[in-house]
Amino acid sequence: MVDPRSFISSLKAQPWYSGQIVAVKELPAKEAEYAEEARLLKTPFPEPLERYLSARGIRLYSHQVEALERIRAGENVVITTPTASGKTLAFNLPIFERLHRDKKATALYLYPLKALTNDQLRAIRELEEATGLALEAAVYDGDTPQHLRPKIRERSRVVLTNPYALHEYLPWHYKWQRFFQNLKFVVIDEGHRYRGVFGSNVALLIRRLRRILSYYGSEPQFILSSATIANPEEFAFKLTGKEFTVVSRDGSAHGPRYFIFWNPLKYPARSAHRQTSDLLALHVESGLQTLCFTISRALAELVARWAKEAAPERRIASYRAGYLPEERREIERGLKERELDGVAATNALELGVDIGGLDAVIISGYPGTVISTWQQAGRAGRGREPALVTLVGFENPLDQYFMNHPEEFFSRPHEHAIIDLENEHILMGHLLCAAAELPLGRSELKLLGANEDHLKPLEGKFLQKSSVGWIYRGTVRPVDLVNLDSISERTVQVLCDGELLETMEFNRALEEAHPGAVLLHQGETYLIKELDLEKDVALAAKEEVDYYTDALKISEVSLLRAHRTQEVSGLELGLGELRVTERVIGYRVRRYERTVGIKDLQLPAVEFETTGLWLALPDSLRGEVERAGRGWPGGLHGAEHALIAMAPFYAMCDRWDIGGVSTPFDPDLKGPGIFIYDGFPGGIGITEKLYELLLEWVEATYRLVRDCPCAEGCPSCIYSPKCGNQNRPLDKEAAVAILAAIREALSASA
Amino acid sequence: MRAAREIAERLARRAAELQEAELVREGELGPYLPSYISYEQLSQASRLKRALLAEFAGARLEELYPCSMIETAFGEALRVEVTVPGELSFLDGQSASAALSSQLQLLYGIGPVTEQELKRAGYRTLHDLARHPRFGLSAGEIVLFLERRDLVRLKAVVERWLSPSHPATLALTGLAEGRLAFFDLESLGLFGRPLVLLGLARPADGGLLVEQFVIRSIAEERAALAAAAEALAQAEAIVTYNGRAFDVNYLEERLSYYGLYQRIDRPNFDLLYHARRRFRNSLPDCRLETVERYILGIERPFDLPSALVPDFYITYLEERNIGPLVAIIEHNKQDLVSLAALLSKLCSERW
Repeated sequence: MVDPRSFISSLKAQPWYSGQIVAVKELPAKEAEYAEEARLLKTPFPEPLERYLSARGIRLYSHQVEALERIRAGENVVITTPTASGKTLAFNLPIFERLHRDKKATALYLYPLKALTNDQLRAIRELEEATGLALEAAVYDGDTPQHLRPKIRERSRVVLTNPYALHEYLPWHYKWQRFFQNLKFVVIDEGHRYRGVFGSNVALLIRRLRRILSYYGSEPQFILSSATIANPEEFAFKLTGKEFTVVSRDGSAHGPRYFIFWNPLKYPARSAHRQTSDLLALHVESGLQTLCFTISRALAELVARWAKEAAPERRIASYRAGYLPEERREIERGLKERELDGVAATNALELGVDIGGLDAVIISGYPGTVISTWQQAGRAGRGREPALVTLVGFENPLDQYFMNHPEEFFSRPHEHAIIDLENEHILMGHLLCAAAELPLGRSELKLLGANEDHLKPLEGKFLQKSSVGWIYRGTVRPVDLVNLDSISERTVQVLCDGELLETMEFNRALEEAHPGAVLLHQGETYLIKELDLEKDVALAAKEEVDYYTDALKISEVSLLRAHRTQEVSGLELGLGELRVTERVIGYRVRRYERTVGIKDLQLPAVEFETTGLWLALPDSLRGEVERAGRGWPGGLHGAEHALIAMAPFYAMCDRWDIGGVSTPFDPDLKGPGIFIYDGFPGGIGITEKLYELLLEWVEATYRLVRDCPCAEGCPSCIYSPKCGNQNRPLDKEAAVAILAAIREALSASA
Repeated sequence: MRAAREIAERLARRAAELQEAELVREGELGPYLPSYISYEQLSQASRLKRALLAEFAGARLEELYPCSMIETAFGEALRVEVTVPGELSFLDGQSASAALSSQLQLLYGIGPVTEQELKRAGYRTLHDLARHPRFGLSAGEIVLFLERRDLVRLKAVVERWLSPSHPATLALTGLAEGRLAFFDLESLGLFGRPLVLLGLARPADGGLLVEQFVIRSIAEERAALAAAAEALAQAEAIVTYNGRAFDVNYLEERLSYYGLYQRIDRPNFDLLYHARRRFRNSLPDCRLETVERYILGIERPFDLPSALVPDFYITYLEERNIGPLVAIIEHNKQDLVSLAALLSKLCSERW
């Protein structure tokens, strides 16, 4: 392969190079750590598995042996080693071993997406064939033909499904009696995807599953595989209610990696997307097989097209969700067999799809989480060959934070994956589902995190107390009342050509599915034509547009109850319940990160109660700021924007999952203050996590703003594209002073 | 607590929306209405409900029907028992046996052509065939089943070589010698929700003995299920309308909900299959109400569409007035009577 150093020099020699490389980090090669020969395995595998391993020449890495020995020992295991480190084999081996020894044992595999289920079925079938174990592994979901279903329920010993299907089929548990009675393993793959609202719903779904399993007398082991997250143990516990052992020490080998931070803002004459295609073209011209991740399908195609124009000799394709399975398979094969030189893709390729290792990866636009960034970067690297990863930073705070502090990217732990078991909106819907699956006994409430206060108001319309517990007595199926992607609340259905595209929370729909909004769905762009709030339906049309929209929102909050408060050096901090009123007043149209227009909207206000935190600032600070000739309201406003922008780095969420308000005088705080709140009714645990990590979060936010090279504030630090007040007033220096004061107060108390 | 109350209210509103979304038109009957109700039926049912509420205010079920309490291991179940007079004629064992015995195609290797040949050669029945060099052994087996009245095995054989809607399956009901149970249940929805009534009927002298387990409050469901399952187990065979897909499945589901799972393993003769085969081309649809009107010439005194059962039941619970429940009891009784009449009619036809 091309020497990375000389490639980097050639990059710098390009006419379009103007200092965009702000850092190159070399990550050393790593030798494989195999399990020590002497104690390779405590006991050898049964013959069919042994034969499989030796026929393929597979030598197990240390982490694989650790995981499988722990699984053999009956522990619940969460494996968080990187992409392509052989996680799947690490748990499939002991599962197959058990299923081989115990002829009745069964295993349930859960994947977050249907597409992934089919990929993994192929892998499991291969293992079945190679080992000669006939487990009749099958996918059971909405696509499973009716006539195959009874046979799968009665005979399959490995069933793969997704949470949506499980939610739907759990009430039919008696038809799964054989499978459930013998269930020994529940595998939850891509576990980190079960976070936020979706994760909190799935956590309750898993508790419902566990309740049914214990009814049938089984208590399977849970195996979780996840990308690296900051809190695997806590996360796995919250997701399943079980104690886990973490296996995280990676024993697989890789070559040296060169991580380039490319800041396109150093060369304002050319857009970040153009620069991405320049990079892709140069990579493939230099003989580097390259995968380029873009943030949307339209961009994937645009970047691929531009790169093809620049490097017509090379084979470059685009890849995204929405292609036919055969087309995707063909591109996957092309990459694996090196028939393709370059591919521009949406994050559809980030998941477990097998494409082999590439020479280089370009990540155009920070994907939102450190976790995703590493997953995408993990696509680069072929055996011990060196690999190149380039992160192209866009013009927004998180991207630019990393451009200005690349070392942070490597030294900080990954994000915390958040699951909130206390959201009553989510909980109560699942209580109904549980009561409809089996009468709900008082002693089972604890497992579900509920108490009788949750059941009381459901009695009458939905539940009836009886000698066997609470019985469901509603007339609709409770699974229809619960949407795993949302909080049980008013939802809006987004339709395209009469087909359901997605279901959104009502307040989310006002922001993302208002008339004129460009909606990104699985990398495709849709234009919203109409939002009917009588029927709660939004009509979308598939259109390839090259612009984006951001809803402009104004909010008000009032404090209902404080759960926790502390005072440090005149600064008062609190966490508690807030009542929030939000109104979308218009939207901004952006093309290539530039605002090209602003339109007004007439939409109703939404009001909800949620969890939030607040910072009540001392009036003395105001004096200081104003004496320095800076604007106090502009400083508060800027600090609020920047805090929100940095939040996803700590609590894995979208920047838009949280909201904020700043004001020079808040009647509840009786003074100036900043509120940051969870943008979901009932809260989803984001601000709670931020409250725990307050000092780190404020520190990073302070550095973001302080170190931004702009003079007066810009989209990379204190501007927010969704600000309903048009980013006025904003005062960067005042924001820095305010953040510095908060940071000082916090670190003094720490 | 306040939040929980608000959430419960939202869930209830959402549930009402879901139910309403299934509506053709918004009615005045409350939220529990499914789709295929016409506006006319709706207002008719609404008038009916009002009339029933007025008529039965303060009345008790025990004053209207002969009721008895059935002891089960899970508490008492209320049973309403009445005899409905009527002329019904079902096959007896002997003629049923003869009819089946003439079906040479029940043997592996015998199609219409071979059957013709065999009949010409003097093998007119399976009893005759028992002496046949090639088919003797398998014919003998079926003859044995016939002698033993082994309904389960015979039904499997008939359904395998003929079809579940073949008239020969009806002949099997004759082997039960009157120990048939017509079965129909009423519920709050399609699966996953409680039952409100389980109705059984058996042929009796001069008519039909109808036994209905009425669930007066959902807390009684468990006992009613147990009592009905036990009553079904007394029968040789069950006769239903769409019971294969619905009633029997649903009963099993509800039993398992209460931890009482048992397979309802009596042979189930689902007349929907037969009605479809016979009337598909002559009727607009094959719902029991339709078959009953056009084929059996039965006009119901008042009409409670099945789809409104949940709504009537909820009104009964909420108003503490048995009026709407009476409509459900009568509706279910009529379904059972029609079901028996339909079997009688189908059995009397030549095939």
